Amino acid sequence: MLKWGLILCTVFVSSCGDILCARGMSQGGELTDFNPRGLLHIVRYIVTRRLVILGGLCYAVAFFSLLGLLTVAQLSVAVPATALSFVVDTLGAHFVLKERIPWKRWVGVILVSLGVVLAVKPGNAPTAAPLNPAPPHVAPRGQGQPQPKPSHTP
Amino acid sequence: MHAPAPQNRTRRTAIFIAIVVLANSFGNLLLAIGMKNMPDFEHVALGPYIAGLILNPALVSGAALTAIFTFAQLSLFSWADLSYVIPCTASAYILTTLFGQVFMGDHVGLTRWIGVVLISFGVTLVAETPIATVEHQAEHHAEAKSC
Repeated sequence: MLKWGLILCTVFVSSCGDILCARGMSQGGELTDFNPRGLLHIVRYIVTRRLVILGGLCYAVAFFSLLGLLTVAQLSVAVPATALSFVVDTLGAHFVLKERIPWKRWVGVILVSLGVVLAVKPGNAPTAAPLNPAPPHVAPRGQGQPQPKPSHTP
Repeated sequence: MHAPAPQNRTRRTAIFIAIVVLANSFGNLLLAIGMKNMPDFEHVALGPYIAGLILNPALVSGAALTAIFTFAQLSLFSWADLSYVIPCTASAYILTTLFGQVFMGDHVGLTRWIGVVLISFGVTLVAETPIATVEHQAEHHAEAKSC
């Protein structure tokens, strides 16, 4: 029970982080200026946006939830299960951010999720698995230690 | 205040996704290499361990690349759909698998190659869909200039 609760917590909180960051970043309009002065402005924008900061906090919670999950669940269940976050992100994008999801994107997301499940399954996992945006996308390193997150990804 | 031309947005999106994928993959490779050179946490005092982390060039470079990855992905969110960005950046798993085999000597089994192929097909399908399906707000820097 605790195991499934932690899987759901990890996946949903991480997806909340993605959605909050996406909403926070899209509210300020499209970033187009990437010269040094523009970059400073963008950094200031990111660190002062409430939704983006909340998103970052969600990533932190999801990361610790994943660590907790790894203490109560077998790695072979815990890590592949978190690939579900690709699907939850897409559902959140549709229902919360009101994105229109074409059928090709749905099929693509499902293929990516299945592919990630196969690619990160313990015993198959690469030594330096991607830390992708959120903790659920974290794959085990070596014999299953989750990767440290130096600063949180969207 | 003008909306960027669609071809500019397409090119910028491709560049930023490439930055996200490369920074994520190389960043993780460097972090993995750096951590391999670190002593076991249980056998070293906290101070020297932290000093070892900070003075480890592979870890510092890996952390810098991770910061670039975060920055680029957040920037992408300002004009592209979340449901477009997240699956596309999963291409990092493909590169990581290749890096693992080439640089870390990982054995890549059939199951992982099947996973890589599925991810490739999935990313290709997502990449064929529109970058944005919802209206994003006005150009950010133009707004800043007007302040």
